[in-house]
Amino acid sequence: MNKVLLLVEDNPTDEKLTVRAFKKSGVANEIVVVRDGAEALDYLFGVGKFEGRDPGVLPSVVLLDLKLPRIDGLEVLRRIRGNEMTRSLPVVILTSSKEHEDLARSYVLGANAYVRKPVDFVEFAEAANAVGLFWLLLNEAPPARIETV
Amino acid sequence: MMVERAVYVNKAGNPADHGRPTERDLGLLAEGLRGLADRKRPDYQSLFAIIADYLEGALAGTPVDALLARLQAEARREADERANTDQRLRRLAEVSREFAASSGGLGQLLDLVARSLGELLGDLCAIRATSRDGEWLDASGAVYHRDPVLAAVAREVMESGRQRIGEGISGRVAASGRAVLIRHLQVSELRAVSEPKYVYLLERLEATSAIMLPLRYRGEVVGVANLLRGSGSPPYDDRDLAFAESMADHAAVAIANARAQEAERAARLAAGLATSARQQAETRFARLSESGVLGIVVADLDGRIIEINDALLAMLGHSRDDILSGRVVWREMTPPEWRDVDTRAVANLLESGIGGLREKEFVRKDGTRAFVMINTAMLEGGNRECISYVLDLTARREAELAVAQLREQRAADARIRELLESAPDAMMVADEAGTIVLVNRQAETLFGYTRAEMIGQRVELLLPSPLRAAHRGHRAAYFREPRVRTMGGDLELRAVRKDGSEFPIEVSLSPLHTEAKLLVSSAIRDITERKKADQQRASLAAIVDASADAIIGKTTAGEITSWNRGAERIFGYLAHEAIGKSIGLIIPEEHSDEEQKILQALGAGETLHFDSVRRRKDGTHIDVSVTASPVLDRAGKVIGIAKVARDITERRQIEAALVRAKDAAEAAGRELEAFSYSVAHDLRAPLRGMNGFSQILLEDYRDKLDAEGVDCLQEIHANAKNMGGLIDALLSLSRTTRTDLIPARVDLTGLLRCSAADLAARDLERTVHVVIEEGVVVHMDPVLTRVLFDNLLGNAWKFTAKVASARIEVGTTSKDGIRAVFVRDNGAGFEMAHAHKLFAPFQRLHTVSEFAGTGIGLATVQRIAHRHGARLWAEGKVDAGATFYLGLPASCWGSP
Repeated sequence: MNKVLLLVEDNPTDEKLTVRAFKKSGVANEIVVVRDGAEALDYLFGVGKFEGRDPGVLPSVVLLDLKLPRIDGLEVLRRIRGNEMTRSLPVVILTSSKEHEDLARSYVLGANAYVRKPVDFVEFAEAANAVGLFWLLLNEAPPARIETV
Repeated sequence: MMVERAVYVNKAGNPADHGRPTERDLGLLAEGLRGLADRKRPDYQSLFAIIADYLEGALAGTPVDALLARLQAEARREADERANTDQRLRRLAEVSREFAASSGGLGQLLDLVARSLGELLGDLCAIRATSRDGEWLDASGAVYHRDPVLAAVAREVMESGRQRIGEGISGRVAASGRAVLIRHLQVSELRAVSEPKYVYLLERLEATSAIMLPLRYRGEVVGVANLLRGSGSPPYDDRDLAFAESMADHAAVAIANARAQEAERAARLAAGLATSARQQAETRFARLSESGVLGIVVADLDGRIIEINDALLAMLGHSRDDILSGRVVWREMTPPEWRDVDTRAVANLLESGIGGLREKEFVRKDGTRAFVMINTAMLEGGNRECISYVLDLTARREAELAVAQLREQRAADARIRELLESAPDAMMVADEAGTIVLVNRQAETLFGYTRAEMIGQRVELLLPSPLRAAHRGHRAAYFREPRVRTMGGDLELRAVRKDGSEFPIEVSLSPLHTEAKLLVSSAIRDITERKKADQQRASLAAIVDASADAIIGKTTAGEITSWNRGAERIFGYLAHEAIGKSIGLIIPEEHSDEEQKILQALGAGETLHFDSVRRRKDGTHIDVSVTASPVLDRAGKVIGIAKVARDITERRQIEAALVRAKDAAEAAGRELEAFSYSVAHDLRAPLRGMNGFSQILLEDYRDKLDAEGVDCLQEIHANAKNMGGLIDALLSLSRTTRTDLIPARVDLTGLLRCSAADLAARDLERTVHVVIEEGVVVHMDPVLTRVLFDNLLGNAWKFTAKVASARIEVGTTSKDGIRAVFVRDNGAGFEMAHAHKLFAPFQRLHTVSEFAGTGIGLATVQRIAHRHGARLWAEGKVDAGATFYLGLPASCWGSP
């Protein structure tokens, strides 16, 4: 079964473009879109609005914007890595920022990749294509649970 | 100086006693001056006064040194003469007595005379008496020479034959009765006129001079004395002759006397008659009194004068009648203080017949005193009569006094010199013509001339030539109105040494009024050091006065002792209002304990710096920065406190403004941070929308649009993309200033390769030949360095786009002593006239259609360069490429 792809994006324009770019590049997986960091965490841990969702079923990859309402992207990343259930979940930062600070902190907190959203849609589509290709098709997802050694 | 001044005042206060300074005066003054040598301003007036006293007597228009030399020479000569004369006079007196006392007959008397003359006038004395008939000089006589062999030779010569009077030298002397002095005897010349034996004697004696001396008594020549001097003694002179003549007179008297006695003895024996003693005396006296040299008086023991000769009368100024008539009482001619001497002589006479040689005074008729040497002998016959020989020594005593005076003066000279030498400064005495007459050793040292080189010269010798003419005028003016001018006044001069070097002097002048002429005495001091110190002090004072800071001196007790203009300005009190007051004047109550703390710290030798608050005259408070340092005496004891107070109100205000500006800048920085962040995120998102959706339209709905619609969409799409690029560039530029600079070792060669590779990867269509120098290492912020060279390489890449074989070269070089990294391309280049615009943001030298770009890249490069302390410049030429230089400071090359 194809795993979902979780897109955390507050900007509807970017959401549409991202979704379109992924579709265009032939990603068939369902794309779940959440609007802020809190929703993203709710989804992952099956609480709040996503009460009843099985948190044992993780998305194949989380595309995470950094600048988000309520809980920002870096905090979301910190919590994902802080929880045993989600700490192996592939997270790709997808953001407008090219700030060195953001980049550095993202990696320190355990981002798997950092992709900057280019203004040019053609480039954006290429980026989305590359991310989808790698994380959804080439990358072997970690086991649902990684035993603590 | 009190003691010395007192000495002088006493002297001056008693004009009658305006004599020479005494030894004691000079001694006291010398002590005083010596004590003053290291003091500032010796009072030369006492010294000047003493020199004036001295010179007044000593100077008669001749330079003092010459006078001194003359006086000294005279003093020496007179002392010698005195000793000589003294000896001769004593001898003469003795001889007279011996002659008078001689009773051994004529032969013995002649021997005595010869010995006396020989001893006193030497070397040889030969005396021949005249024969009774007066035709001959006897072959027998008396001979004296200290060498008995030569005496024997002379005697043999004499006894070889009698000499006819009127023939030969001795004969002619006997005939004329006049003495002959042969100063320079030439024996060879005498050969022709003298007997061979006599010539032989002269040769044996090596005679060089001679005196032929007639012995005369009452006009009759009783004999001739031949005196000869050999080569071992100086030749006879006039004084020897005069002395010999006076001896001869004595001898003649004695000889005549002896002859008379012999004659009497013969007569008595022949006649068998007793001759009364009185007759004897009369006879003898009649002869004796003819002598013009010795005063002779015959008196009885009661003081009654029996006979007196002319010589003695001349000596005393009385007539014979005065004395013999008793109008003048003989005893009263002896002043009371000398009468004891007479009394003792009478006692001697009664006891031994001889009164004894003595010195005494007589009062002359005119009241003056005659100083005499006298001896008395009892006359034979027992009738209490005695004869006295009186020799007038008044002249001698005057000579003695003169010598004593000279000696005293010489001592005074020496003391004056000593006094001059003991003065701490150079001293000089000059006359109205400016001729130097006296200098001391300090003057020799000061000017480099010897005493002899200065004395007799004009004082202008010691002045620089431009000042000489003016000084002559000053000197003339000074002599018209001479007055004392002490040192330290406005009298400052420049002097010149023998070696030509000039120096500033201070001169103190004092007129010396001597009878002969007006002189001026000066004390001269080299004030080079003091001038230097004065200038330093003046410049320090000027600095203190000119200082904008308050500079305040105070005692340890807190009393204000000095107050400069800065203090007046800052605190509002004028100097006269503050000096003498307590420092509490400007210390607010709440800071009143500060002073005690300052005092404690300064006692430990520290200098304190602190900020505090002081009170102005108008009561307002003022922020001050204070530096307090101890003022120490030589022993290191704190004797005062120097305080420098700076008004820091303005500084405080500036500090506050700076804090505010910094806060504002930081706030602005934070805002910029937030702004940049939203630019990055929020401004780009709409652009993505514009670009993305126009792209979607172009892709999916192109067939529904005509060509113009497609073109419009493409414009929207491209513009949105451009604006994205601009935003990125702006962010990059702002990042270069916001980011902290963390220098590290950077492999620049490697970094450049990466950068070039990225460029090549993005532009696969072009082939650019990139040459990068190997092994370039810098110490810079790695992130910013990458941005910098990305821009420079990107620039070169871009502007070589239209060149057939593009080439970019990167390496290091030295330009104007600065080691630089250069990036050279063979692209479009630029006009050097526009080089200054290259690095300003948004300035472009090419149109967008020629070369795309934001105009921010080189501005970013410039900022990064500046943040590293590096210098950026470019050289270029249109269509001939451009070279960018990054001149890095030593620190960026890894040097300390």
